[in-house]
Amino acid sequence: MEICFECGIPIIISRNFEWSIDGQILKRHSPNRYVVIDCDQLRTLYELFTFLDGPRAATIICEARRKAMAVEIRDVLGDIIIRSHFYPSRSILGKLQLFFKAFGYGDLRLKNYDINGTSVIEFHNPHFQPFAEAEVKAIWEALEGTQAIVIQKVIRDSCIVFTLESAEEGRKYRLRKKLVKTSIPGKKPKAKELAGDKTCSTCGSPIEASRFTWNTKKGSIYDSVRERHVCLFNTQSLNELINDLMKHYDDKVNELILRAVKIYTRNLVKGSRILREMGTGSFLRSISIKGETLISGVEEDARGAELILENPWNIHFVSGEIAGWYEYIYNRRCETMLEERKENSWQLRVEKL
Amino acid sequence: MMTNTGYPKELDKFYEQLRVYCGDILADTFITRKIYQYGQSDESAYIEKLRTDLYLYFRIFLDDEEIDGLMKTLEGEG
Ligand SMILES: [Zn+2]
Repeated sequence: MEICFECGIPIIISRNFEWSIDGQILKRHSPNRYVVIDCDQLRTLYELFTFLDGPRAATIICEARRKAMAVEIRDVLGDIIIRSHFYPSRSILGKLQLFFKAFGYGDLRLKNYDINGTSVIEFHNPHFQPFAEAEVKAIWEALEGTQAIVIQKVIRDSCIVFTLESAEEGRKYRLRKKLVKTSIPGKKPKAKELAGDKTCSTCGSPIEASRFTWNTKKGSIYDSVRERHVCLFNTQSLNELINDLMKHYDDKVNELILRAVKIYTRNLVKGSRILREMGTGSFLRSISIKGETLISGVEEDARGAELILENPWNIHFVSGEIAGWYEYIYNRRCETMLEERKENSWQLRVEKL
Repeated sequence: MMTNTGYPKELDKFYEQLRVYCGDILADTFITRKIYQYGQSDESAYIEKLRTDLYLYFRIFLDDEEIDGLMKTLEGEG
């Protein structure tokens, strides 16, 4: 994976993504929006729901991940698949591996891909172990057009070896179905790119994005401000995951996410000297550079703070992060109040309790 | 002794409080699962285990004061 010498952002990222001035990371020539999320933050949410509802919650979350990943892989590989027959070519596998590494999902190695219907995939350093199985199943689905079952799963240190087989009975030798390029539906918001003085003169990525370091061997991304490993996620796929949770557990899910993210952020700030010494302005800016939201107004008074959030990828998640920050700096519990001002624009009030 | 929520009376108030934080569905599934998991025979056993859960996992989404409140309920002081 080629890295920009000036800012350290992989060329595949700067070529395919743009940081808009309205707080979003957008994929070029696609309706998709992305967001940078801590792997630990995802783990926290996973633990929350699996703690409350056990294996059923794990299934809901992992199935949502599988569905979204299959769509996304088809979007990434697109037209290459249409040209392939019988087994994926080297270029497909290379592209898939690059996609996983660039997004911080880990190092994927296809050890065996038989036309007799089994394949062995080695997944080194998966960003989030519970998702690994869902993600390799999604690869199969995207390439084969059928669902896969995992017939063997061996965990060796930081590597999981999956042996997969088609879930479809019967004919194992078959012609590959032609797949058409799909993309996750959604209206692409108007993108206005950052001004030239705030971007890398070589690759055009925002200067502030250089806080992310890609480990091109392991396929991980490290956020040096939060001192956490992070991943790039499609916002539509994360929101679909949250919607799936809401179908089962009603909209209390939003409140739980806000609560868990708030506590996570408060503890993150508490444990990090870099964050603690950062002012509110810089912290809020650091959220924007992750593609979470644009914060267009902040007013603080004796009782708390009021913020205007434009284009939050998920208003509850974003509010949780901001409330967590304020709880740390106020050193007391806060209450959050949300009001939608107009489409994609919210007023968040964080008030001391 | 069971109450009209169907839970042992020790957990009745706990449920009422928990549903405020995570809604009826999750509170219900959580308590039902825990009663089953920790054994229905000895009521004090699951209360003891729930106490450990409170300090380990409830921290993910509840503040200390809220955990203390649940704790008191569990101990019958709420
Ligand atoms: Zn650059």
